[in-house]
Amino acid sequence: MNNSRIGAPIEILLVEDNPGDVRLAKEALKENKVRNNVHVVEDGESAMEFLRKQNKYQNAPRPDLVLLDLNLPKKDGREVLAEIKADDDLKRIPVVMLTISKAEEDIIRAYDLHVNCYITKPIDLDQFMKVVRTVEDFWLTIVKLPPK
Amino acid sequence: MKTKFQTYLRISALLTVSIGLVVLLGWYLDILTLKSVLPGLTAMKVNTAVCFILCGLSLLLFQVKPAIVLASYLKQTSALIVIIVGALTLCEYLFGWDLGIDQLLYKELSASTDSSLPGRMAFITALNFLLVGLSLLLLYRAKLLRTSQAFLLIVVFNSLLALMGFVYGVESLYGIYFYSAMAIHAAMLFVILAAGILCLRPEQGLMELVTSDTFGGVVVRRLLPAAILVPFLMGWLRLFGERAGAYSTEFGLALFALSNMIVFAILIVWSGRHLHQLDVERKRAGVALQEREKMLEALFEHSPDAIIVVNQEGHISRVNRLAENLFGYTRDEFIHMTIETLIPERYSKNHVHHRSNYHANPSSRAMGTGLQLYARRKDGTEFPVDIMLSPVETSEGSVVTAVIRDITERKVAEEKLKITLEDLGRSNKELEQFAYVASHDLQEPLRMVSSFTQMLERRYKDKLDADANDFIGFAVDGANRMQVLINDLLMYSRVGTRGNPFEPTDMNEILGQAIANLRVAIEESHTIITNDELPAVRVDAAQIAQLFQNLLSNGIKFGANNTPFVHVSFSESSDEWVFSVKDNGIGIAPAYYERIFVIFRRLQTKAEYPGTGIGLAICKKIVERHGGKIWVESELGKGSTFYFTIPKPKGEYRP
Repeated sequence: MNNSRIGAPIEILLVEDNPGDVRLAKEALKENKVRNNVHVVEDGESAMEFLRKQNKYQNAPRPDLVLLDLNLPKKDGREVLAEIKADDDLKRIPVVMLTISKAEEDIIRAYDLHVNCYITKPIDLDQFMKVVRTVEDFWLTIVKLPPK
Repeated sequence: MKTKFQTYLRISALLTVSIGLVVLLGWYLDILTLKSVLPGLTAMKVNTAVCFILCGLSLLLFQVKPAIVLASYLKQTSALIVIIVGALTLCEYLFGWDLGIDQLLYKELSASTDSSLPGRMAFITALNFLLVGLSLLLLYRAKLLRTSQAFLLIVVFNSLLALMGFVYGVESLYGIYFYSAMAIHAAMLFVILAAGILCLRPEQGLMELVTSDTFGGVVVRRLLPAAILVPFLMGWLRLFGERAGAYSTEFGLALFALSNMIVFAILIVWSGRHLHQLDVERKRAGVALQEREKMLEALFEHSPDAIIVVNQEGHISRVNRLAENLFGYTRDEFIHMTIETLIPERYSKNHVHHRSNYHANPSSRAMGTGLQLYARRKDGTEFPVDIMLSPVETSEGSVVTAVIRDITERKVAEEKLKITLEDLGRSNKELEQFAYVASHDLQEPLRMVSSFTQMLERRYKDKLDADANDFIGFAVDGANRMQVLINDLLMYSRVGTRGNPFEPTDMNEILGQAIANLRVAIEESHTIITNDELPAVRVDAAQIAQLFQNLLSNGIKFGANNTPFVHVSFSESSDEWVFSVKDNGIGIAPAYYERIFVIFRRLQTKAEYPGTGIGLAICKKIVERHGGKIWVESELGKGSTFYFTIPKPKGEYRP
């Protein structure tokens, strides 16, 4: 069902400063059937550098999906989201906000900034795994995305 | 008192007018009785009758409001005509003229028996009219009031003389002046009329003595009529007796003197006693007055507030002791100062302006409403004050009493309270912020504990023994419970920090939402939920929905085993709505009525009734945020009723 890139691994950029969450996400993605490469950056500035292939990320691939945490050191998730969505070159990359916040104002702000979807991290491990897999499945196998 | 004079005035005026008219009628119909009362006596002339009518009218017109110009014009014209007629008639007598005014209105057919000058009024009558007319004109000129009243007294004297002549049968007395004599009813009418005119200004001029309640007034009122009437009457009796031949002239004179002595002795003793009593009473009243004054003085002096009396020009006329203490000036210094001296310079300039405004519209009120007022002591220090002003009319003009209270202590206390409240508000805010942030940030590590314990279980379940699995179970359960606690705490702290503004809300709708949210629990427990028609109230809809939901869910959770029901109703008083949620569940012992509203307090074991014990604490916080109260009434085993109140907004909103 995927686009014209069957066989090539899926590139996922995970912006998350908590190593525990990074590990959990990685574990969840590892169990998945889709072949993927997970790139991890720990703060908003690195995320932007990765996406714009700047500094040490000059050889970074263009991600198929960005999993973005809300509260990050330096530039936070909202700023990263706003910059991606304001950048003509990057705005088509689907950004999934993956955060612990259930606060209504956080959700509204994220959608105002054109987030592709907003997900609250479930507490339960099984649930979390399921959500991560579902996200990947939905965005990388079900949805028809624009060409790179 | 005043109306008594007015009544007499009216009667005398009307009497004058009507007798004048009657005499005129007598002339035209030729009825002797009407003209001269008794046959053989002098008749009242036509001109006399007309002049009486004019005088009576003029007097009556004094009763009309001065604003009516016609009336004032008429009354002056009437008086003027009377003067002219009187003066002309006098001239006729004095210079022997005949000006043709005597028979101008009525031609006497035959030369009357009593007069060789037909139709001409008596000399003395003419003089009386001249004086009455003048007094009517002069009465309203304050400076000439006494003259006017003196004229009237002369009129009375003339008339009494004429009357005496009639009574004693001395013709020369009523007809002395030249030829024509005054008619008897004319003489009486002059007395009545003069008294009536005197009543116009009963408290001024010569009349002041007659009407005043001083001792002099009493003496005049009691003795003057007697001094006139008694010798008059006694003289007549003496004359009557002598003429009847009852006694000789010497005996008659002795009788006359004796009876006068007796009557006056009695009268004087009677008046003296009355005066004595009056004097005693007045002295007594004077003492009482002094005592009252002393008491008022003491009240003024020892008032718990400083009092300063200020006149219209701002000069201080009186102060009490506290004012001296408060401002540091002595009494003598005060009375040489203006009130502006006591006001800090930056305000004193405006105060002169405010002061004149106040005098333009004086009323008892607080000074500078809504402003903080300051006063200045002699040493220049300032202190905050409250000032009440009240205008007082005195004999020295209108003054203002300023009651001044030093509110330094109150200000300090208020300031302290304000700071305490600010501190409290800040610390509350911080606490709420802390609870919110803490519970938010606590979730992250907790999720780590829970997730990785579960990861451990997942990966290594088969490689561990039963104990290890138990341990993992406890760890996961603990983490989960902590998760719930944190969420509850978050919700609790949000009641204060994340509330919505109060809007008019249909409480039925809110209750409906709460019931809908609990649909599963209601169906599973077969609880029957009923409610009264609820009012619309100004609330935070989301929070009140939460409140209903928590109370209903308690009712369901702790409901009766067989037929659980929950009923929601309300009542209202003038200042609040009272809502109640009643169930037939397990009930609560009175010892716990208060405790159940404390956060994380539970009465039941978790195994029987799950929950963290936050529900009612949140309810309490929501109700308190709305300014209401929440409480429970219950009986163990029979059920509980939770009540909460929402205060009504004052006057502005009615559903």
